[in-house]
Amino acid sequence: MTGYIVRRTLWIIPVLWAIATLTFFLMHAVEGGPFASEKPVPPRIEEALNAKYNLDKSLGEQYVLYFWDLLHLDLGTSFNANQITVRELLAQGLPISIQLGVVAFIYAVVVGGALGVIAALNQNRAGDYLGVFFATIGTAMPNFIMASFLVIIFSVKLGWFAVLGWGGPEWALDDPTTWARNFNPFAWDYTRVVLPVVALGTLAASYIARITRASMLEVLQQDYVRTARAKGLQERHVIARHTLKNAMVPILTVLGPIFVALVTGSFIVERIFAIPGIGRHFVTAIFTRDYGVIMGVTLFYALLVAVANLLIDISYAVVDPRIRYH
Amino acid sequence: MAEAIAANERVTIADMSPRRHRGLWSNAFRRLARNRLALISMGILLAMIVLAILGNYVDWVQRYEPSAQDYSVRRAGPSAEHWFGTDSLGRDNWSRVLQGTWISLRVGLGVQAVVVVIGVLIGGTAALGGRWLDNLMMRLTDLAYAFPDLLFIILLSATFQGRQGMPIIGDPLFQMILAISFVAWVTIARLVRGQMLALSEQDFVTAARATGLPEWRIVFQHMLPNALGPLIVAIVFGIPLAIFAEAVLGFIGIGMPPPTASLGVLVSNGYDEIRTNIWLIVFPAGTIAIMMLCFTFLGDGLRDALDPRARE
Repeated sequence: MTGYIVRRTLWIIPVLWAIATLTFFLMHAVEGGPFASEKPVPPRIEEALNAKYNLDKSLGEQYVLYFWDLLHLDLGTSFNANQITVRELLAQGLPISIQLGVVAFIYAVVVGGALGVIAALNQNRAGDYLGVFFATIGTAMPNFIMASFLVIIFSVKLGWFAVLGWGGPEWALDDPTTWARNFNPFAWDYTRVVLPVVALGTLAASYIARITRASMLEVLQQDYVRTARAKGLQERHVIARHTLKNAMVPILTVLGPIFVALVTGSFIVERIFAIPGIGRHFVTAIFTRDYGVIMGVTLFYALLVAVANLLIDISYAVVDPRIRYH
Repeated sequence: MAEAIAANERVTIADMSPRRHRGLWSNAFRRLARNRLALISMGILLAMIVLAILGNYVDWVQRYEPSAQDYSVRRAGPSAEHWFGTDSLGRDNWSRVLQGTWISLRVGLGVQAVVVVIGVLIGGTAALGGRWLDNLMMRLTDLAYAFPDLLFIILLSATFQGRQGMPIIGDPLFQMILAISFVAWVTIARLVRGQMLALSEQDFVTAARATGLPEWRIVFQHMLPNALGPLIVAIVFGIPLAIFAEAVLGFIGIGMPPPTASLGVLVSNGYDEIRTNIWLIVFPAGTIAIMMLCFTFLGDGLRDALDPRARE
């Protein structure tokens, strides 16, 4: 087991290297450079800029220089006028992306789980159809389409929620005194939270609802549930203690991938609602050929995915002793 | 005794008669035909495909040129002249939605065509090419799995763009198909590998080997047809994902070059005018939603029909 964890952890390094290399050459293959905009800068200034950011060197040299800096955890500078480093950019956006991801995750688990349980307990009745309907719509509706409809109905027509922005309280990763603000329910501006969270989390919620329903239905047919009922246990005890607990296992195994998908998939929602998280920077960076930001965001996401997948695989091994690794 | 033999014979004859002997495919077809939701979805999809083709190539269905601007009817709602309304440049939304639908459908099907070739080749090689090749191929799919999907599709599309002059990859539609295929092949490759590994242990494959059939004939005649069911299901489920990816690209502005209207571009344009003219976004967004719903229902139906063991 220990050997497996060590090997899997070390395997992350070549994966990240491969992703970084591919991204590096791909983004340099994109036509145009960071300073070739509609208003071209004077040639002498462009030369000076290129020299400053090593863009006048050959691609091979740039590659070596970038990875040398990367080894020292230096992600470079954004080409934007603000001149902030990519590290700062990620540090600014990350708290917001974390808030969005975590709240969407909670929404997905609570709503998806509840609908799944209700559907299973009312198999082939109204509650079931409600759950299945929700799950189908959620699976088939792309998040930006759902966001559009939500905005039309709840912002434009009803005026309940804001069209743009994010309402989470400000906090900083490097300042633990600000962390408590996240848990203060009055610090949140819910008119700027509900729509992005629903748009982002509904796909995950419907997935959880499907799995919960299927898992509950299977457990409800087990002999020990019949035994529990036969010995006269109250139905709510049968559900809470015997069914739910055992139905949890397949649900738990999908929570990891779902969390990863929510955090890395947020960039469309961030773009639609103009939420200043890290995902939004990626799209902007591609348009402006902001090489450092493209690399930084891609590497960050790739690291997140790799670590999450590792944790998921390890947790499988812990939960299910039948799985053996070699 | 004679009666018993006769009864026995009757049973055998009845067994061999065509009515009793339904193959996998006719069985699957009957199961699919019983699934009303899947059938309706298939009908809607066929209608959309026909409409999309007619709307791109037949004038009286298309009614207006998708890029023709008419400043006298800007930002109009649905009317007898403009069924889906017009945009801020007075372009007819109906013809633009039809154009976008045809693009989405071609991307959805085109990606699957590319992905099946890559996936079957890589998955098959991994399963049948020995341990060393298997390790190599699986590491490759592991790697592709670790990429954040959409980010990579976006980056690839941006790379392909601006290479209009080049042969083959100069076509913007094909660029999009390639970019999406690049991340989508992994699912098929894993599926094919798993199927092939499981099948190569089965008795009928051992029997085929024992008769001295060459390996390629075993693969193509005995194994591939048996892996076809799950493969078809995966392909149908892959179509809405590709349509979604194409729409995202259009939405964030790395899709088909203007004035071509893909559905994602239309949604994005409509989003900018969501306060003044909601019809502009309702029709393209609704079209995407209907397409994705129908393909998902069809996929569900096909999975139940073709792969009864995989039912949840």
